[in-house]
Amino acid sequence: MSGVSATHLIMFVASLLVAAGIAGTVVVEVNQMSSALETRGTHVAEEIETEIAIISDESQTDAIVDAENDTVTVLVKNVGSRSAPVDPTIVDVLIDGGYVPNEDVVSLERVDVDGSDTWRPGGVVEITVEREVSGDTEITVVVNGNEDSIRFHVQDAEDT
Amino acid sequence: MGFSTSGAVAVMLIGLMLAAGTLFPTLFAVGSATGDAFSSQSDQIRDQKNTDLEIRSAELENDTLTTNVTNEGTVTLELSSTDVLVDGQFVHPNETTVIDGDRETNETRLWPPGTELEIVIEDVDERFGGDVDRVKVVTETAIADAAAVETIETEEEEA
Repeated sequence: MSGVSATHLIMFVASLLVAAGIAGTVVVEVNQMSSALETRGTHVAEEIETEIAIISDESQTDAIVDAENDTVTVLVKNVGSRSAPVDPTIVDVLIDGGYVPNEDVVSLERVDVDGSDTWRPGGVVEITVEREVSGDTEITVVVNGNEDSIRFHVQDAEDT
Repeated sequence: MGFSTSGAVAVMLIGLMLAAGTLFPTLFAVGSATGDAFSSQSDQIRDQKNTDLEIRSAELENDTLTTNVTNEGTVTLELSSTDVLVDGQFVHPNETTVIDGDRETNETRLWPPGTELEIVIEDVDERFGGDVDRVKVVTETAIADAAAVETIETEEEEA
């Protein structure tokens, strides 16, 4: 009789241990998955709320392209509901599809409110990058997954 | 034998319940944040659709550029988010006046529908090195209008 009870006891303990092991693993893994979901979800919400628009006057190519210094300047407005820091690593510029590396970004500053380092909704930022452009040019600015482009034609150096 | 199965099932069910307790609140929070984001995006699109402006006149006289813009939309615009570009360059105006029929004020930051905004930029020669050709006014949703500047020569020649 006691032999049967001992067997039962051992199997009982064993099955409880297995169950506890499974339950513990499930709880830990679901915890990790839920943190990952939260990070991903808030990132998606941020991307949806971010919206920018290039407001440079496309008819005034002289204000955009500085042929003497080989720089390109665009004005970008935050028309979304989310602020962004005024930081060259957050704002990416593509000229004719080519990425402009951070060291070619000459300046990035807010022009409607001097000296601010937060690009609030409604704020305008001026980006100047070092790049020689000519002919048909397309400039794309990307912030937090949201982008806007402008296209214009740069006359070559000969004056008409 | 029977009891150990029940015990094991009980432990696993408790574990699953704890897991669900962690997962579902996160799912709801993420769903809510994404829903809010879409909602503010659609608010913005609606404001953008309801925004319209037209530059009535842009005159350069006596080194002062005066631009008159009418809010033709149905949304009140905010002057702190309205930008003026002269010849493609960002400018801070010297004075902005909202004109509503007979009344006008330069103390307000609001530009209601149907009213006119007068933007005054002084010292044009000093700021731009000569005459300017084009002015562009951009609202907070990036809806903009642009016009050519009319230079008015004054009769008396000043030295």
